Order: sequence, then structure tokens, then C-alpha cells
Amino acid sequence: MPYTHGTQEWEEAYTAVTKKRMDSEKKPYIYFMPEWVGAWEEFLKADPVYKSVALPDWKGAVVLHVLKNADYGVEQDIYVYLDLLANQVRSIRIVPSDYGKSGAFVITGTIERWMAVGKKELDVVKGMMQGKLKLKGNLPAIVRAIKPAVRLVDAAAEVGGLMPDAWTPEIIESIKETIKNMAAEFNIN
Amino acid sequence: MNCEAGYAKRLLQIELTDGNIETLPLDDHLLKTCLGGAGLATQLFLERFSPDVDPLSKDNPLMVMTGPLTGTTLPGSSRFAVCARSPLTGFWGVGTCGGNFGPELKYAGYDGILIQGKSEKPVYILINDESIEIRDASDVWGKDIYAVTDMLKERHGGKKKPKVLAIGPAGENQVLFAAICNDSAHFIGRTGLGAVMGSKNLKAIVVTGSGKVLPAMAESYKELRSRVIEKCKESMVAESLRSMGTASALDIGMVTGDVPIRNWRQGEFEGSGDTGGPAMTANYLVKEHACYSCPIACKRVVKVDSGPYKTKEGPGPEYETCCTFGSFIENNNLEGIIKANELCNKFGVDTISCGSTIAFAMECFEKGLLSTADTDGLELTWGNIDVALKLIEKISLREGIGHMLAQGSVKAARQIGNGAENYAVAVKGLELPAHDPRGFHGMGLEYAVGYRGACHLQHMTLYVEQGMSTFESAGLESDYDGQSDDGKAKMALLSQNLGVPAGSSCLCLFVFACIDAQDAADMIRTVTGWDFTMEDFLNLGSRLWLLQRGMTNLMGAKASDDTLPANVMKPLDNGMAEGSTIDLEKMLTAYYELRGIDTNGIPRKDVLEKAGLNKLAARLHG
Repeated sequence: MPYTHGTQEWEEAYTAVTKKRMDSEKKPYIYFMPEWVGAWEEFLKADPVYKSVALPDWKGAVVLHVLKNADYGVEQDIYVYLDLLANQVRSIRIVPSDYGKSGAFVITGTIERWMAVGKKELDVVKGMMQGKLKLKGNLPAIVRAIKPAVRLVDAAAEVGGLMPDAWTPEIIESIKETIKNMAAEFNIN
Repeated sequence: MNCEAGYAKRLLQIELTDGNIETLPLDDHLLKTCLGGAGLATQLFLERFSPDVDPLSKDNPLMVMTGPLTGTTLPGSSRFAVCARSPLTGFWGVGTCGGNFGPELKYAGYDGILIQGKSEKPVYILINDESIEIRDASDVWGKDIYAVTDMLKERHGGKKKPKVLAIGPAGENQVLFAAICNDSAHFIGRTGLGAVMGSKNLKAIVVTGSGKVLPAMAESYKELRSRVIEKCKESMVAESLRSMGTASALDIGMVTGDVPIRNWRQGEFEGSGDTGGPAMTANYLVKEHACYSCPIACKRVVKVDSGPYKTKEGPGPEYETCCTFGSFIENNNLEGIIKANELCNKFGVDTISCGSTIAFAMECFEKGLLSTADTDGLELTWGNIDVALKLIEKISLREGIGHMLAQGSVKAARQIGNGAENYAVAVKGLELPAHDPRGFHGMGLEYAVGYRGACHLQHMTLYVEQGMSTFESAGLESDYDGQSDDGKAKMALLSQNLGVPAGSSCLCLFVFACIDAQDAADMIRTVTGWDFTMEDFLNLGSRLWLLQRGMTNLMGAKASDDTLPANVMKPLDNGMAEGSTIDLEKMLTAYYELRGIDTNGIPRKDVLEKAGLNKLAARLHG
């Protein structure tokens, strides 16, 4: 039986799995896998730049929605949920789709688009304006928070990671396996 | 009278000196080669008037022009242009506007109005279909724009209220950057055409029409209209404008290096987050407002309820105004900006040139070139919105220091002397709009080569270079590096070839930013019934750009006028465009080559002739 999202058990198990993978997986971590998400979280929680630009009255989760693409071993959509409050990054988790969709701001893109963002080849603001990334949520609120939003993305690039264009067949197989296990254990369908 | 296939095919000509009124036919060739708007006005000016005309004399014609799209039910079809030789710059003056006046003029059965001469006494023009009158305006002369608009609407309104184009006291006083206003909310701000209207003793034009604008290809038109509306609904550019107005660009611009600060000398401004679209939406928005037939509704209606900057409910400041009365002078009080906007609107001045001229004066004050002895005792210190508010009034009424500043920053700098010219941020006499070329080098090139001076609207570079729109089918790339000179000459040229025909057909550029070039060409095709392709659209863009550039050349512009001001050429030492250096010469050289401009800054004879501009070629080259 998978853990139920929102419970203490889910959180403890997710944290344990992430920690274990961060200790065991080779760096650079694979983009959007739990260990990479964990590294991003660690980076942002300690990031003085984010703290300085974040809005003191900010409320609302930002969700990066990665569209599935079997060619890359991503056989279901991934929702990376950034729980943000004021100038704090409270947590970043891969979450079940229903919960991910409920985030205040959901930015959706293909793996290729997210890779371009990660490589700083695609500016996230331009990407949204051109429709390469789709935003769901209150636009004035996110425009008001444009500086912290840009910092979140810049931080993802600074964390680094193994980009999809460097994924070998073996890596793609491991991604398939990881997502399958995460789905089974954490109900992230 | 209905306008069949997008045009009335007639021009209303009014001679104010003797009161003579005529209706002149517009032939198909003229319309097909000039479209309408500023393109048509330029051709008419070229054929009938001297480029040496004194801008504030009776001999400078004021032309109000619609395009084939104006008054149709297509999205973005509200627009019209006003043209004359500019009293601010001395070059070709173009101002464009949304609102509802253009469509109503078409309903009355006219593609445009050509106003000549000068009335002995203040007058306004009253148009009701075929009935044209020149009426005494002595009771409305001196009234502010909101008041005169209300009075004329009330006086001439039956079941249907007329649409009004009016000037305020600044236009009457011939402030060189005076604006003209449509229905108290939509402004022809740039190049000082309100002063031309004032110089003719013309307070207003009031129009009511009973006709329709009918497309030639009804079925295709209907399908196209649905397609364009759908694209506007889906576009993030439209969503941004709809939800926050144009001022949304301020918050975004602060992270891209687009926002000029402290008369273009700083890259950082702590208060920027308090003065943009989200803040206005959260704290002062009463409701959104749309121009005629617009699914976007970017206009804001705002109100400051109490305090020293209390305003009535009225048009909210646009992005440019939030900058010129905000970051330009380091003011982070949005209520003060809203008040400044209200004052500029009522007096009728261009908020860009007015705010820029005040920022220029503040720098002169800082540098000791102006003192309180020159400024009627005012301390022109950075961030002092109260002083800015006083200056708006002084400028509009030409009182004290305002009399000098009413000439715009360039002429005021010449009067001040002692190097003040270095602090005037203008090209060809027109103050720069609020987009910093150090953040986006291509915009700098556009400012430099612009036929009306520093301009952000006669092309699509703003949208293309900042990545809001792509227009790949027209040969543009999807991702330009703002702080680079590479590829910018071609980008500027193609962006002009897109923006100019959009402007002359009178399509709103915000709508254009949500669709593609093929859609715009299809708009013209389905409305006019012409065999009109995207290639025709782009070729016409090139032709009309050359026509207007040539007109500005005839008015005296040379290669040395294709430049950027000193404050902009200096790299910033902080902010998002820190260290960005513009190689204008490199971009200009490449641009001249691509566009076919000679070393004197004049389009080459063979290039003009190839574009079918033989008469212009003969006048420029003999």
C-alpha cells in the first residue's frame, strides 16, 4: 500500500528516501529525480539571495509540471511542488498529480523546455510569454513576485544536474524504475 | 454611409481659415499603396504640403486618419493616427490612439480628416454623417480635457453619445508635447500634435456616424475573427495586459534591465515593486476598460480615495507613465503617479515627454545647472513627486520655469546651456519611451533610426526582442539576447516591416503581438477583398517605412540625427543591465546596409524607386 500524501508517514518516508538517494546516487544528480529535488531544496533553504528577494507576504505553492515523455523514461507527468511562505522555502517535493494541480501557480512544460530553462537557454519569463511554458494561476501575484521567481529558477540552474540530453539508455531505464517505485510508494500518479 | 470593403474612399477636408469644407475622393491605388493611418497621411502630406512648413503655422495640416481595419469588428480595430509636422521635433510627427473615435469617423463615412488653416477664434468641428459644422468654442476654450469632453458629449448627445477628440489647456498654450485625447481616456501623446491643434484654435472634433464598416469577404472574415479572438484568449501577453494593464511590464522589466531609473543613470530602484501593475491592480483598480472591439481590455480605471493624491475615478497610468513619474525621478509612491497621470490627462500633455523633461530638469538641478532662482523656488530633488505635480501645471500653463520646460528637454537644454544637452534623453528631439537600450540593444537601434524620433511603437521590436512574440514566419528568430548587438539590424528591419503596415492598417499592436503576420495579412485581405499575402504585408511595411523616413529626411534629418543620448550610451554600474555597452555604430552600419540607406542617412535613390517611391526619390536626390 502506498503512503497517503499529506500524512506524517508520507512525509517521513519521502524524506528518508530522498536522503538515502542523495547519499547513494552519483553526482551530478539526474534532473527531476528525488535526489536532485532534494539538492535544490537544500540549496534554496540556505540561499541568502532568495531570502533577500522573496516577498515577506508571499503565500502560495509554485509547482513545476513536467509533461511525460516516454523517450526520456518519464512515463507519467511529474509535479514538483515548492511550498513557499514569506521568504522561506518550506519544502520541495515530488507530489501526486491531484495535489500538484492544486498549487496556486502551476507552470507546465515539456522536458525539453525545462532542460532549456535549466541550461539558461530559455528565460522563464520569455518562455511563459511565448507560450513555451504555460502558467496556471493568478498572473498579477506571480508578476509581483518576479524577482523571487527568477531566483528559484536560477538556483535550479546553479544546483546543476544531469540534463535529459545527456541521459543514456541506462539512465533512462533507471528513471523509469525510479518513477515507477515513487508511484508505487508515494502515490504520485 | 457604410464603408464597403473597409474604406469610405473619401477624405473630409476642412479649411479653418475660411470655413470651406470639402469631401475628396481617395482612389484605390492610393489606398493599396498606403493602406491608411500614418502611411496615407505621409503620402498626402508629400503630395500637397511643404516639408519646410512652420509646425505651429496655419500651413501645417493636421491629419486624422483611420485604416481599413478601423471600425470593423476584428479585435484591435479601434485605432487611428494623427499626423503633422511635429512642433516638438521639427520632423514628421505621428501619434496613434485606440478608443472609439476612429470607428465613429468611419461610421460617419470618412477615412480621415485633413484640417488646414487657422480659425480666427476658438472653434470645434461637429460631424454628424453628412452634416459638417464649424462651431464656436469660446465657452469650452480653457476647459480641461475631462470637462470639455463631458460638455460636448452632453451638448450633442442624443440616444447615442458622440465621440470626442479634444485638447486641454496645454494644447491651447502650444506646449510642444501637448496631447490630443479621445473621450477622456485615450491619448495621442507623442510628437506634440496637440500643440498643432491648439495653433489652429481648434479645441475639439465631435463625431457621430450611423453607418457600418463592412468586410469584402464576409465568410472568411468571420472565420478569421474567431481565430484571432481565440489567439487573444490564449496569449500570455494578452493575459498579462488584461489582468494588470500595461504597467505589468514594470515588474517584469526590473528583472530584464528594461526600466530606466534616475534619468537613465541607475540600474536599481528599490521602490519599483510598489509602482507596477500588480500594485495598481491590488490597491487602486476600479475596473478594466477596453477600446472598441477589443477582447484584451488593457486599460485601467483607477481611483485614489483619500490623502494628498486623491483623484477622481479615471484612466489609470500606463507603463510609460509609471516609469516617467516613478523610476525616472525615483518616486515610489504610486498614488503620486496616479495623480500625475490625472493632471497630465486633464491638461493634455504627453506623459512620456513631460515626465522625461522633469527628470532632465532634476538632473540639471542636481548638477547645479538650475537653482531655485530658476525654478520659482522649487527644489527639484529626486523622488519629489510633489514638485513633479507642480511642474506639470507650470508646464501646461507655461508659467515660470514651466515656460522653458514646455519646449521639451532638448530645446530647454539648449536654453540652459553649460552642457545641459548631455542630460536630455531624446532622439531627434523626442524623449525616449521607458525601455532601456542597455537592457535591449535592438531597441536602441530603433530609437536611433526612428522616423519620428525615439519610438517604441512603429515596429514590433519591443515584443520580439523581449521574447513576448516571435513572428518566425516573417523571418525573425524566437530568442534574442537583449544585451547583444548581434543580429539586431535584421531584427529591427523586419520588426519595422511588420509594425508599420500594422500601424497603417490601424491594427492595435497588442493584438498583433498575440497573433502572427499571416493573421494580420488575412485581416487586410478579408476586409478589403484584395489579393493580399503576408509577403505583400511585409513589402508594404518596407515601402511605408521608407516613405516616412524619407519625409523626416525632407524635414532635415541626417545620419548624425541617428544617435542615442549620452546618458544611455554610458554603461550602468548596477542593475540587470550592469556593464552592458551598446555598439550603436556597428548596428547602424549593418542596418543602413540592409535597409539601403546612404552615409547621409537618406534612403538610396534606387531603393526608393524599387519601392515605387519615385517622387520621393526625386525630391531627396534630385
